[in-house]
Amino acid sequence: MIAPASAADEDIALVTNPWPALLLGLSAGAVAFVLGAVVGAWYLPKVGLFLLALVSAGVGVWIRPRAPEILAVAALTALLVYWAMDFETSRPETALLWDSAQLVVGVMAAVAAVACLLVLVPRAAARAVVSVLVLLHFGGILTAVFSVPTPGGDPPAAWLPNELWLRFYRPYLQFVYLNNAYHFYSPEPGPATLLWARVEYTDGSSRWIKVPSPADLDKDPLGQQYYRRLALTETLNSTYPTPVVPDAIRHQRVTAGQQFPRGPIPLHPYFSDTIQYKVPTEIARRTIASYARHIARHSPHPHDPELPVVGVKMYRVVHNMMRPAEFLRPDVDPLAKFLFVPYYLGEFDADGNLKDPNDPLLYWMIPIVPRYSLPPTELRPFQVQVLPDPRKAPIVGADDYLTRHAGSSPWEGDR
Amino acid sequence: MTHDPTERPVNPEKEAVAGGEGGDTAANGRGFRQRLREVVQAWNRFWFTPADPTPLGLIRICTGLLVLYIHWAYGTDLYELMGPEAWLDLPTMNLFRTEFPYMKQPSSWEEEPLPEPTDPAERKELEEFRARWNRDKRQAIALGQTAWSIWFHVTDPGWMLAVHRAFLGIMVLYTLGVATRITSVLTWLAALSYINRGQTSLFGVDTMMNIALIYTMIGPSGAALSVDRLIGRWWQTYRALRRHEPPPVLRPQPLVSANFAIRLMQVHFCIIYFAAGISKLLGNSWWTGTALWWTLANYEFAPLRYPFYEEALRWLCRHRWLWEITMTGGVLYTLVLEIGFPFLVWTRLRGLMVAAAVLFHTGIAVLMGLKMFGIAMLVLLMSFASPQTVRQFVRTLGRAVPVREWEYSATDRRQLLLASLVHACDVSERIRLRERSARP
Repeated sequence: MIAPASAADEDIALVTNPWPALLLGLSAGAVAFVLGAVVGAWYLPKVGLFLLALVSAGVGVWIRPRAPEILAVAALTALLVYWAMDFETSRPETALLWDSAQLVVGVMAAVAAVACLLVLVPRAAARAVVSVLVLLHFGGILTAVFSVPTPGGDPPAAWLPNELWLRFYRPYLQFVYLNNAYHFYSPEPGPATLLWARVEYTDGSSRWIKVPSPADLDKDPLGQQYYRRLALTETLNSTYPTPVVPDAIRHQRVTAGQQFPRGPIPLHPYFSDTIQYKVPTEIARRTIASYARHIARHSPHPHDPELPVVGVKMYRVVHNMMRPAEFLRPDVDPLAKFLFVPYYLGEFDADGNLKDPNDPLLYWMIPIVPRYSLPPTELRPFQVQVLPDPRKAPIVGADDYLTRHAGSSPWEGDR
Repeated sequence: MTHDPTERPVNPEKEAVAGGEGGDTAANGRGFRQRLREVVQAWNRFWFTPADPTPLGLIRICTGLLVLYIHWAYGTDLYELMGPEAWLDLPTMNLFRTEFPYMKQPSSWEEEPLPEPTDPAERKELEEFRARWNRDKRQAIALGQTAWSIWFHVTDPGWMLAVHRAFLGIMVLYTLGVATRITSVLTWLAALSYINRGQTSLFGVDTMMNIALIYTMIGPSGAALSVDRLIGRWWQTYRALRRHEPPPVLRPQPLVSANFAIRLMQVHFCIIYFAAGISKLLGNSWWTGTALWWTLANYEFAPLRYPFYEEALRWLCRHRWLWEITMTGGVLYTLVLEIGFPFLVWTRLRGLMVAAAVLFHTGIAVLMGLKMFGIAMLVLLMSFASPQTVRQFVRTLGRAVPVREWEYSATDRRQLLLASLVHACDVSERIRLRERSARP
C-alpha cells in the first residue's frame, strides 16, 4: 500500500527507507536470541519477538527488494530467529515445540541469502542461475510424476526417478507441497471408499457413524468439507497387494466364519480370496486407530452423552458403481445393499487400541451378497462357487452379513 | 483468448535448423554455436521477456477468492481436521512427520539383509521401530517429513480460532492486493499449515491452490489490480497534479518477473495435463472407453442423488449406440486434450485448447461434483490468457461508467487528493480530470 509492488514501481513509492523496519527486525531477532539463550520458557513473548523480527525484515525487503544489503540483513535476522528457536528444538523434551516453524525460518534465511547473491552477480549470471533453478524445479516435479508405482509393475516403480526423489528432491518437494503425481482418475476411475463405524456404549446400545454422511454436504455451499471427508476415507485404501492368501489365514477365516456366535459368515461367493483379504499398510493402520479414537471421543450417546464408549468396530466400505446393464433393472438402484463392499478393520477401544489383533476376520471382506431369484442350486457353504449368471435374474434382496458381524444394522439410525 | 503479441515464436529447433548450415568442420562449429545461441535466445525470450502484470493480478484475485472460500469452509471443521483430537490426531501426525521412514531402494540386484546388531540397546530400538513401521530403520534414507504447519504447535481451541481468523484476514489482504509481497508469502504459509496438518483430508483442489499461490508469490502479483497498485497510482497522480501537470497515463509497466511467474504456471499446467493424460493410458477402462461411465455413475461424486440425473443415465443406458458414442467420445476428448494440450497450446491452436480445457473442467465440476477443483484448474488456466485480453476484460468492467469530466482546484489539497483517487481508480479511463484554474 505504501511501498512498490516491485522495483519497477519504485518511483511511485510513498515509503522508500527500509532501514527502520530492518533494524527493528534485527533488534527483535537479537533479543529473541538472547532470551532463548538465557530463559528457557517465556514462549509467548518469544513468539511475539519472532513474529516482529520476521515481519519487520519482510517489510524491509518489500520496500527495497533488490538491494543486496537489505537482503543480507533480512537473512541475518531470520538466522537469528532460527538460532533462537534452536535452543528449544535441540532439546528432546521441547523438540516438537516449534520445530516446523524453525524449518520455515531456515528456508526464509536461505531464500534471502540466495536472493542477495542473485542481485549481486551480473544479470546474465543471475539469469543463468535462475534458469538452472527452473530446470531443477521442474525436474523435481517430474520425479514425483514418474516415481509412482505402476499396477503390477516389477519393479513396482521406476528406479531412477525414485532415487532422485528420495535422495535429492524429497525435502524440497515436501516443503513446498509439490509432491503430487497428477495421476488423476488413473489407471482406473475407482469406486469411492467410505468409513462405517459401529460405536458401542457401556449399556450395550450402539450407533453407526458413516463417513461421509449426507449432512457433510450442507457444511458449506460448494460441498468442500464433504469431499474432505471422502479424502479422509480414501486414505484407508492404502493396502498391501495380496498376490495370494496363505492357506492358514484362509482356513482361520473360514472356521471363524462358521463358528461366528451370531450365525455363519461365509466368504463372498463372487470375489476371489485375494480381493477379499486386504491388509492395510502401517500408515493406514495408524490412521485407522486415530480415526477410531476420534470417533470414540466425539460420538456421544444420543440420549446420555456421559455414557462411555466400550468399543468401535471399523469397516472400510467400497461403494461399487452400477454397470450400465444394471441401470436398466428396476430392482437395482445406486444405494442397493450389495453394491457396498465392507472390509473389517478391527474393533478398537476408546483409546484407539485394537482389541484383538489376532481376530481371524480382521481385514477380510464381510459379504453383502445379492439374493437372486434363481432356480435352486446346490449350495456349498464356505467355498467359492460359480453360480449361474445372475445378471438376468431378478434380485429379491441381499444376504447382509455385515449386520450379523457388527451386531446391529448399519442401514438404520444413520448419523 | 488471443495470442500475446509480445511472445515470439518459441521453436528453438526450427530456428536452429534455419540458422546453421555448413560443409566443413569450421562451418559446422559455427553452425553449432549459432544454434546454441539461438536456443539460448529463445530460452531468454520465453522466460525473461517483460510482460504486463495484469493477468497475474487477475490470477491473484481469483486465487485469493478460492483460498478464502477453502479456508472459510475449514472454519466449520477446524477442530475436527486440525485440532489435537482431529480425525488424524496430533500424536499420530507427529509420528508421521517425525518418524515415517523413506526406505532406500536396492542398489544391486540381490541385496543381502543387514546383520542383526549385537548391541542390545540398538537391537531393542530396531525392534521397536520394526513393530511400528514394519521396516528396518537402518535401511531408511530419511525419517519424517519436511513439512510446516502452525497446527502442529497451536492446539488450544481459543488460540486456534484466533490464528484461523488472523489467517483469513491475511488472505483477504492478499486477495485485495494489500502489501502483496508480504501477504502472498503469509497466505502461502497459512495454506501450507492446513495442508500439512490435514494430510488425510486433502484432494486435488489443495494441490492446485498451492500451485497458484506459489507462482503468484514468486511473481509481482500485486503490481496490477491491487490496492498496492491503486495507492501507487494515486500517489503518482497526486504528485503530477500538484505540479500542475496533466494526469499521467497509468498503465502497469511490463515486468520480467511477471512473465517469469506466468511461464512457470503455464509449464506446470502442461506437466499436470501430460502426467494426467499418459498415466490414464495404463488403465483398461481408458482403453475400453468405459472410464467416463465409472465417473458419471459414482454415487459419492456424481449428482446421482438427484432423480433427474439418475433418470438421464437410465435413458442413456437404454440406447447402447448413444451410450457408446458418449462414453468413447468423452474418453477420447479427455485423452486428446490432456496429452495434446501441452504441445498444442503453444501453437495457433491455443484458443481452441484453452476453450476445450474450460469445457472439460466445467464438465468435471458439474458432472463429477468437484466444483472447487474445477474452479482451481480454471484459475491456473487463466495463465494462458493474453495480457491484452485480460486488460480488455478489466476495461469492459468499467464501461458502465459514463465518460465525464472531473474538475478540481490544484490549490485545494482535499480536491487534489480526491481527483487523484478518482483518476487512480479509473482503470477504464472514463473520467477526464480538468484543473479548474486552467479553464479559459
